[in-house]
Amino acid sequence: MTNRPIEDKLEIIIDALRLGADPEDIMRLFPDDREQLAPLLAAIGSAKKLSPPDPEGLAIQRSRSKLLVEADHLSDKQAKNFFGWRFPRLVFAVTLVVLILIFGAGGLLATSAQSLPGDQTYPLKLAVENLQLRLNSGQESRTVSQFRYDQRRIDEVQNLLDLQRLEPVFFSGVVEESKPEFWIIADILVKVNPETNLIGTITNGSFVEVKGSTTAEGWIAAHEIRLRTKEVFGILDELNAEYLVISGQQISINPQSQIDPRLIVGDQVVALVEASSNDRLWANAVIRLPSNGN
Amino acid sequence: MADSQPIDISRLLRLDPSTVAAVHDTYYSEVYRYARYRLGDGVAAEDLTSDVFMKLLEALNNGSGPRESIKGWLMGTANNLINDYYRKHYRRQEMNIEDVDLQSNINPIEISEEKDEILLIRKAMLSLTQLQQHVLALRFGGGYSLEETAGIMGKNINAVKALQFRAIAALREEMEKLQL
Repeated sequence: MTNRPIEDKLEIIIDALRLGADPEDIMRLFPDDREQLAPLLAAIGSAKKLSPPDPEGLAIQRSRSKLLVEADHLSDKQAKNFFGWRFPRLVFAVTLVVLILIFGAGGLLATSAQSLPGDQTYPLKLAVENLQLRLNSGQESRTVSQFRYDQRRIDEVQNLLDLQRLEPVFFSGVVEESKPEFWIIADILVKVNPETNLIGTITNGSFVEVKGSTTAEGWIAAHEIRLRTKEVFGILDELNAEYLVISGQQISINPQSQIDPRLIVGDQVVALVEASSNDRLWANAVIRLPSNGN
Repeated sequence: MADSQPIDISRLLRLDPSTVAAVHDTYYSEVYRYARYRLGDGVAAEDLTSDVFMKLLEALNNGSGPRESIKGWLMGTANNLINDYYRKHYRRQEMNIEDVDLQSNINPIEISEEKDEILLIRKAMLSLTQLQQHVLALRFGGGYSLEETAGIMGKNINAVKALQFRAIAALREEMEKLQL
């Protein structure tokens, strides 16, 4: 022991302390170095006194939720980098027209319209829907289209289950029933397991987005179920204690809704909206936007 | 503290939610314990740990995330954020006794003496270089072995042993100055 470098001896002391050895017993290992090592042993004992407790479960949960929301946000931005702002609508539209001219309007697009998740032409179907959503100028028209595409996703999932095809899928719908292992969302049986990411406070009646995979047994293995919220931009047409109307769209208010107290009719606003059923929207928050020129 | 289950980096780069969640759940406690050891405050450690994971997302999104070891990257980032934290709060490093957060199961009669001692140890610790604080926090806060610490710091084992020796000797010296 005595020929070892002092750094090695210190490491032995740290290991011995970690294993619960008595400091006096440890010092007996190094009779010749006692004078030098004893103060260091005391310092190690002090350093160990700062040893922290484990984190609280709630803190872990909070951090996890925050991280997943941000991951989703960045993931959306990544997708937009391709089909979004950096790919201007006009260029996208022209490209699509060229594609139609090349492949024939009734050919590829018609085929893609019938495609299901996992098919080669399915991404084209989503791209066309995305384009149509973007070209819809009115909020109301966009909302109607969004509901139509939501229903299309549900039909696709149902088709895949009927065909017993195993594919990754996503769809949105209302939680009709939630039991410990199986949920029913938009009439589809969804299996939730401990690995399933549940994002947001989800209850029966909530409108959610589901990411998962079809199974041969006829249900969806859920990877993620997320409470769906969306933003509604527009002019505030009406505001009362029960609801507000933004550019013709009625949105209900509940005691949890956070409404900017300065709001007056005619303001340009953005509302973060949660849909609890296909025909009723709830405001989580409504904020006044600066008007043009201000 | 054995290395965790393999993480699919390609899925992580795509910000796949289940992989992001798996990274968070695997490493949260380790990063928190390290941060709590260095900062001494539970709330600040929670905030900083959360920031470390947000930085990871940011880096992944910019294509500059971990190359070899996720754990090494997270701990390195935690170290940098803590160093920044102390730079920003330099003038507030002189702590009050009330700032020291103790576990609640300590006998109330002993709390005052214990708090004084912890406060002084922490004060002595803050006098060390950032690298010395880093190595002690990894060993005694994170509970990492010498080998794991060397891996996280990207140094060889002998270099870590030497650094650790200097850190403990410096801590002893500072404690003597504080009559501990």
